[in-house]
Amino acid sequence: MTHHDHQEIVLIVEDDVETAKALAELLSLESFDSIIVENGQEAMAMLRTGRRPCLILLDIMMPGMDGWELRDAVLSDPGLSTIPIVLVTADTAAFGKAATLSVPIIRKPVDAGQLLDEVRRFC
Amino acid sequence: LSRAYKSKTSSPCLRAEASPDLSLTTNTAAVATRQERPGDEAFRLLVESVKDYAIFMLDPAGVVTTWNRGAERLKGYRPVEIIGKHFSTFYPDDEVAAGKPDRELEIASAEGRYEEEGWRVRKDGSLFWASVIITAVYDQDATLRGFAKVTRDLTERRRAEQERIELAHAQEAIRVRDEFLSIASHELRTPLNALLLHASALEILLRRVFANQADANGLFDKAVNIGKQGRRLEELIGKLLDVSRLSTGRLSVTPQLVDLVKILEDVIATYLPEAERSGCVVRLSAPPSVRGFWDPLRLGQVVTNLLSNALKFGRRNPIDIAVQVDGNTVQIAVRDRGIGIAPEEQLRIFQRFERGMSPASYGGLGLGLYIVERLAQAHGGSVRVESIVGEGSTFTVELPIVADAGERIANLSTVPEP
Repeated sequence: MTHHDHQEIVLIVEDDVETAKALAELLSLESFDSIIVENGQEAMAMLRTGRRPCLILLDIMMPGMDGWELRDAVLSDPGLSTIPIVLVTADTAAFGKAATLSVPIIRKPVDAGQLLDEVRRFC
Repeated sequence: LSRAYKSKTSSPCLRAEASPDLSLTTNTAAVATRQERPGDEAFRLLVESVKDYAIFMLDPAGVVTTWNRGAERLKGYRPVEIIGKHFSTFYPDDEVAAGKPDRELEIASAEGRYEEEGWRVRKDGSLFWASVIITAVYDQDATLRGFAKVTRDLTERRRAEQERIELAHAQEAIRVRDEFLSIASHELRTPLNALLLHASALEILLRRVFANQADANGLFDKAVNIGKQGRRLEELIGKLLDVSRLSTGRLSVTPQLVDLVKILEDVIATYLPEAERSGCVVRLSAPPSVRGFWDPLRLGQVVTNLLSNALKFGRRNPIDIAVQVDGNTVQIAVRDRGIGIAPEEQLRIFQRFERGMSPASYGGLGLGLYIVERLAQAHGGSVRVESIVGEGSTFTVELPIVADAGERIANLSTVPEP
């Protein structure tokens, strides 16, 4: 993405590339830049390069390291633990857990208004 | 016993006549001819009295020479009826024709014993599943004297085993189907999510590009409708996933302190456009607030399913949603004035994939009420319907009002502890 109205960047962690691109395009309409990674390991690798996103949009159901595991990894890294995370999932079972942990969560199919509101809150 | 075995050449009929009241283990003629040791009599009585096993002797040619009480009970013959007959009488005709009884004796004499489970025939012609052991009996000179045959009736055990196997197969089939349903709904949802995001982006772009053009409203509507229909599709797929979770017990219910009236108001608000389209007015009559521990998402799903049904079948008449607190329970009644449900349909509609109406006249998968009932039950509640054909239906969900979260969360939630 090549918009520069916002200094900051959103990290999209989503194993379905088409969904990730559609999210990024929607964000770009409001001039938010984003970086797409397809799994938890790639996300950690990106985060450790030192580029700090204003927000992580995190899918939960991913092969390998899932969204919860990535969240744990981010939280246990002192350099990363303050990066805000918003979960994005169709898995209704995740909603209860998200509520008990007070993690913001967006339900798939994503409501564009709700998504943009969350992003504006942090970026 | 020597004489009994030597007599194998004598006619079976004569043998039976010679010992008309043979309810004994050993042939009375044989017993009479020799000195009986004290142990022999005890052993004879022991074998004779065994009721759960058929224990009897065959001569080397396979002719029955003794018969105990267990044999009588199992196979139905009295001693006089069977002693002197060939043991192939106990086998089904096709096995006799195939030479199975003789083959078994051959194996027993060659290897010392023969063991199997198989069908055997009672006197009355009925079959039972038998465990059979045939042991060859030799004398001191290693001459074959005959065979000891022990038979057990395992029909019940076999039936129970068959049932267990069938049950396991059925459960496996259900598991495979639900797993398929779960994977299929996930796979179907994934491109749909991308599609809906594109529809949202399209709508935003169109509004931006054609911001001040009055004749562009049709374009906005198209984008909005793509999104709307996509969401409908998504909802149906979500129901499939929920059903597969319900039946595999993976659907989680996570109660938290919520205001039921607020949830109802939220759901009704999201259904206002649809209500407008279907020409129904939705009215809510409720106390200002009813607070308790319920899963807000699941409660919303219950109300959503009932309300969307009411809109679907409501025939443009008003829909009333009433909330009533009665002691420790709350009732949510959704009443339509639509087509109604015939009495014989009223139980069926809560089953999976069942619908009151033919699929041709009304859309849907027939999962909504099934989900409603299971979710109500997961909250310790219930759902019932009262309906008159042509006048409408009232679905009433009754839920316990739980003031304390602790135990309920522990019992119902399948969400692991963080």
